[in-house]
Amino acid sequence: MAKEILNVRNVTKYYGSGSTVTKALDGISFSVNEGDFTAIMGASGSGKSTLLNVIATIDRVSSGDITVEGQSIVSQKEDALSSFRRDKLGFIFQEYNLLDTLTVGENIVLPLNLKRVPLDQTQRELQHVAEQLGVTDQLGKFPYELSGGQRQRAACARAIITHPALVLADEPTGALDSANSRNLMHTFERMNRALGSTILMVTHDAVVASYASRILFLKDGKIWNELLRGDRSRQAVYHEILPVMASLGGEADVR
Amino acid sequence: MFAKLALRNVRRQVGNYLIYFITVTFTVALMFAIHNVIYSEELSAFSQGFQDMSRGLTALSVLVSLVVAFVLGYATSFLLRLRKREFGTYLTLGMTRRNIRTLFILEMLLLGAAALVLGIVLGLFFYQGLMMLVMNLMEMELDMAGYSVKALVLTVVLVAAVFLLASLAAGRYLKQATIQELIHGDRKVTRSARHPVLWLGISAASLAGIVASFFIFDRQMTQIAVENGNSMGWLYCLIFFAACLFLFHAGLCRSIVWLLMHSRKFCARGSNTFVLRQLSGQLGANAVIAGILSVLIAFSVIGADAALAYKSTLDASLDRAMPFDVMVTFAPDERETSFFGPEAEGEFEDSVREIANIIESYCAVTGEYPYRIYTDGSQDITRHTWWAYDGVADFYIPLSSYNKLLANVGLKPLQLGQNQYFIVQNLTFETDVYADIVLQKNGVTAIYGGTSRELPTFIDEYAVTVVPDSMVMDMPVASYHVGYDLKEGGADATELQQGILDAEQHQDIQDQIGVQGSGIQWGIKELSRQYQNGTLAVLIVGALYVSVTFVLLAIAVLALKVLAGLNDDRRRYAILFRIGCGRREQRQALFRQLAAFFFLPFIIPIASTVPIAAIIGRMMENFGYAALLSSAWSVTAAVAAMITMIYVLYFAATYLIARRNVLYTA
Repeated sequence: MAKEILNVRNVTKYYGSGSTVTKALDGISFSVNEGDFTAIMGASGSGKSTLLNVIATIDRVSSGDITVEGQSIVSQKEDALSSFRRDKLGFIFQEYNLLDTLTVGENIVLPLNLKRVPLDQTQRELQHVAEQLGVTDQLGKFPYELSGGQRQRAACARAIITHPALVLADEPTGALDSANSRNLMHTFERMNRALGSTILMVTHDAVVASYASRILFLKDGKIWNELLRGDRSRQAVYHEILPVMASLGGEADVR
Repeated sequence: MFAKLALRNVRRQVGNYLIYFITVTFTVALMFAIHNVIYSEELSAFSQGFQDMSRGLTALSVLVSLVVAFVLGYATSFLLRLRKREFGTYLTLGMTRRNIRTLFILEMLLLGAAALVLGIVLGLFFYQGLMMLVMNLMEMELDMAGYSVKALVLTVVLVAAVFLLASLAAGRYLKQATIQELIHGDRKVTRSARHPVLWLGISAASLAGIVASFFIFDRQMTQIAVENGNSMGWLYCLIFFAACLFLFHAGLCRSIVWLLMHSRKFCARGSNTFVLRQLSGQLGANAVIAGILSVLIAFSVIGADAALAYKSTLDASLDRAMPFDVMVTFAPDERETSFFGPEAEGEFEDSVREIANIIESYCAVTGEYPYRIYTDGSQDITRHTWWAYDGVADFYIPLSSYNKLLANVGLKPLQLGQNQYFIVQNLTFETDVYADIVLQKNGVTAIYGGTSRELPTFIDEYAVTVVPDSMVMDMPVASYHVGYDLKEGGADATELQQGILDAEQHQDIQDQIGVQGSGIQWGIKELSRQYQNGTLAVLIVGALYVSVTFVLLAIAVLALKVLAGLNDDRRRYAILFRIGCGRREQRQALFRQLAAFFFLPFIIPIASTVPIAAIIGRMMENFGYAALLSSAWSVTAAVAAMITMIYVLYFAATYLIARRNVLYTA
């Protein structure tokens, strides 16, 4: 049986106070196992980004518990959470979030530098991950010299160079055209299958979600539905997603 | 509506405007304080020297205001940059450029008015502090200095002019910038500096130049002191030093990051690469300003140092030039060609008593010391010196007479071997030239017995030669002198001077004092000291004012540069946070980034204070004030400490603002 990486138990998140309280997450529970590629879909305001943020420890839960590799992250202090993010999580954002002043290579190794990994090991990891994600030729360039797709691949390389327990992706194709989105999803597949990365991805895009092995649908801060890909083709999953999204009241991007 | 919006904006932007506000407030406070000093009735009454020099201070203040206007104009552009996205958004929402200009200028006016009021309030205290310093320098006492309306008006006028100029610069920018520039301008990518190797070479060569300029300057100063060289070499040397300092910093800014990036081990540790890359853009883009700042700081230190050192030197110089409270000289009208005959002796002795009587009507005389300086018109010694061309003859004083004078001013007697002469000079001059001179006067032969530049000459000439008594027997008298010591605290110098002047006008007294065929020169030590102190007080206050203002402005520019980049920094530190860089590590990275940027143009100028103090010390030594050597060091240390304190304060404020704005937490 696969090892459990993430466990979200009865998590709620409120914003505001008094009469203006908004419930962003309403008792959500689910778990993610090692090697899973999970997508979270939902209409705007359904709570999917909030869910990703509380798992990423960028935001705090109001109640409930979240464990990563069996360790609770909801009550840890600031410094411990930083170490947790650095050691256990990899991030991929819609806006790439590469540091514009650093070269691609420097961006990718930055998490290892922060962990104070020795130089030779850092170089080995860089070489390996750059080859796997096809960014070797871009290592010496600055982000502004790359296309959107190349930047996002570099961001992927940075997210997995520390071999995190969980890679979190927030609308990773949001700033890409359809061709680059497809390429990026192939990269995600490679990360998931060849490199064994466990991925939790938030997306609007039905095509992008169809690459995942499991899709969670959120509505009003709750898990409303779940799709498992199983042995079905991507195309078949895609066609299943569309009516679910329509019933959720949100428009899925169809590309 | 605009006034309301402007007021709300200012309140909301308090953090961003803090450095600007502090700088303007301090500058206004300094201006107001200095203007009060200029128009101080107490100071004008105390010293003629102060009155003469204070006009120079007014000109200096106007000049400083121009620099302030330039820097504040520059600073305003940073505030604009910080908020240009906001202004761009206003434009897209349909506000006109005129509206936005009005809004920004209104905000500036509000800030300016607040800074003016607070600055003036602060200036009230600064002024009292400054007056304490001035009074201390002038060796006078004053409980509470009065304020001047003129000073207030001048300050308000100058500050208004400064704001007008600064607002015009901002208005011009807002008129010309496109919406695209305003909204997306801060996303421009800062590229690495070009030609780092060349700049590193320039930097290394400039560093060598800085070191060399210290040695050359030191030699130039020694030459001036020892050989009375009057070349402009020292000025060229200062210009060379400034150029090297500028190029060193400009070069270092464009190469240091490149150099450090070569150490892969260093870069692989923690956030070092991030900090270096942050600095790379910042330093590269600000290389010129860093160069200018370093020169400003260095010259602020040099100026303040030189002014304070000059004071110590002049104080000592007065004690040496005027060892007695009142000094009177009877010298022939044509001193080089005519000498006194033996009949003058009686007249001189009578005059000594008559003068004492005049003085005693104002203050008790506690000692009178008549002495004579002799000459035979020869140039046995003088002809070996650079002042021979003036036609100056050798002047002699007998050893017994000289030692008596030394004893009177509390100095040890001069020990001379038999048939030796000794040269006392009031400036440094190569003494080797004297060694072979053998004096033969009155049948007595004397050989060289030494030179001193620290003993008093008791004569208003470059040098006097102390000779065995027998040598000057029958030699004509070149000048008669008498020194008087007065009862301590008994005389008002101005009254005494007036009394002497009145007496001189009086025919009866005129007939009684003096030596036939001579002119009388009076010297009242206290009066000289007052004049000198007044002049010096203006010089020192002026130098400190310029130093503090320039350093203040220089640091403010650095601080505002940092704040202008906060938008970009915030984005970058947020990324660091997300990839697992904790608050502590972010704080350290931000601290290192800001400290390197802040202190790069500061370290060398402050380190330069050591050789500068050494040079000033040597100058004092060369001019015969070896005893003041320690004061050169303490003055330099005080000036360096003051500038460092201002620097550290600004750095701390900037760091705290940046930390509040930039550091990212959940």
